Amino acid sequence: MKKHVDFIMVMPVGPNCLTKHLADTITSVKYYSDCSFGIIIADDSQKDTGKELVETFPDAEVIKTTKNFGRHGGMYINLCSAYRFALENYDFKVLLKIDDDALVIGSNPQEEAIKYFENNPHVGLAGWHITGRHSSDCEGNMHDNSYPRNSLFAGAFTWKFIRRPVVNWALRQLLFKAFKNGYELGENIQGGAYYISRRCLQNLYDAGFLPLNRLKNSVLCEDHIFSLLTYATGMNIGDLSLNEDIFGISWKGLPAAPEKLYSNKKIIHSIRYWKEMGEAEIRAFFQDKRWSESFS
Amino acid sequence: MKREIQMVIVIPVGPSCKLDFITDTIKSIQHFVSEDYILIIADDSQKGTGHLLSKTFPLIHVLENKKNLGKVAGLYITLCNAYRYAIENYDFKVLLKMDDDALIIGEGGEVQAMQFFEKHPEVGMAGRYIKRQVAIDSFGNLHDNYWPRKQIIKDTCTLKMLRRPVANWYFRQLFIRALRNGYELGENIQGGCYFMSFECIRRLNNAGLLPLRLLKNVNFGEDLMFSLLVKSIQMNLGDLGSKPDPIGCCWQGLPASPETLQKEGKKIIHSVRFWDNMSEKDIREFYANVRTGTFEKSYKYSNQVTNEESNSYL
Repeated sequence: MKKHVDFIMVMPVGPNCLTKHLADTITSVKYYSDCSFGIIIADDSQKDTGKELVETFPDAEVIKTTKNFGRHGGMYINLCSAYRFALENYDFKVLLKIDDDALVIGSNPQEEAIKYFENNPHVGLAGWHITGRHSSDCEGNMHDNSYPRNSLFAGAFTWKFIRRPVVNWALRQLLFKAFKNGYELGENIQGGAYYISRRCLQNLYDAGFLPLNRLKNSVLCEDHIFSLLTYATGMNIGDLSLNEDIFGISWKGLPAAPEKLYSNKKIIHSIRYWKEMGEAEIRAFFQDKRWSESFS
Repeated sequence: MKREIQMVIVIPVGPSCKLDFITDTIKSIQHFVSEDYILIIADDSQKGTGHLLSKTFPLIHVLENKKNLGKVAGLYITLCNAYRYAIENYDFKVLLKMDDDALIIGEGGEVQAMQFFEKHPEVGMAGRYIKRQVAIDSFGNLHDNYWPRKQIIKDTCTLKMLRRPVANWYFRQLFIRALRNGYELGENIQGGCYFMSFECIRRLNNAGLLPLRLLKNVNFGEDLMFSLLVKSIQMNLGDLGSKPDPIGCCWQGLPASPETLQKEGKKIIHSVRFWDNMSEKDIREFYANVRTGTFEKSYKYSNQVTNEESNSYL
């Protein structure tokens, strides 16, 4: 019997993640969610990080890897285990994938994501939509998207194919399928935080993409892979970061000052830094906000 | 010494083009274009259509192909000859390429294009900008852009490249170069009517792309090819086909009714082949009546080069 919840939160944990930061991010999700949800920790730390988190959050499920998968294609495999676990054990509407350097800063962002997927049933993955060679984030900061464009093209369509023939053959097949469904080279939903609809996860599962083991040596990051796979299953990706949308996401550092993001965004990434502010300072800023909100 | 003018207009003419219709298109140019311009007929008809036109319009420049180059990449070669002729003989600001089924229906389109290129010097080619798999124009018409997306991948990245190995190899090189400059699969400016900046044509010429004869067997439309080439020389494509812009362009038929296009302030339209139950003749008649209802203009040709001189160019 599957457990019914409104949404699932999946957080990948690597060897360098600090337990206090992970706990702070989970706390932020818990604080701002007035609904039922499940927490899944995809623990690739090879330490007891997952166990430590369960001590603080006993309702969290930990999917621990037996050996370190690492980043890129490895992280895709790790996340697939968590997504599969979610599909097999929970009945939910959307899944929030959130990195340890992301934070929820506004109430019930899942409601907007659920509504968005209902209004756009062809969209399976939503967050900050990066397309073209240069893409701007919600604050107009430019992001250079050359890496996935070049890696995909070189791996799938040039002599560099032979460097990793198995993974590149798989990528090539996926690319053809995705192109037919309207995919643009390298377009993706930034992986710091995004929502996936249950329907999209089910399609990925049915297509045998959770995981497609041949991709484990891919040099693409998991967000590039999931975006490609979403198109390969015939679904689209959508933007939830424009104007008043919930995501305030940048690849490195915050896209704007914490005060500004607090006023108009609900999920932010990456809180590693903003100008002179470090991660601890940014986390403290939002902890204060939560504390003052709880009194008001 | 090159002669300074504001605009060059190029109309390619194929074997099936009707003289009456081309004449009507030229009359629309004469009526509405107020800037200093020259008109080049890139004649691939093989039946002297250009020559016949020059009897009615003695100041046009006719560049006649010795043998029929056809559509697709053949049209690319034909147009390249015309563009090269323009850049080697004139200093101009913009070049307008119009098909024989395009029409000018209002004043000032060329001025808007000049202002656009001045404001966006990185843009080399502008018109109805089509990107992604399905493009929607400002009138809500859907355009399926699947074919060029599929074709470019098929001919440059699969075994089918071997069908035309030489042409496709060069095509592939250009594709990779364009991708590096931000080209998206199949993105293009619809070829019915578009503007190109002088700088863009200069760069294409300097890069030896006017024409790259090795591309003559590539199975890719001329508009798709020019869009790719513009990206390969590190320039961008621009949109002049949205709501306040001068171009109202659709692949087949008009994007909206003749009255709507008029009301929306469109200045250059394509294709006048049909709209609902209206035939090309009806549509042309509609706009001819609009023209006669307004003031008549004497058209300006700034160049006195004879047809013989321009023919000798090829």
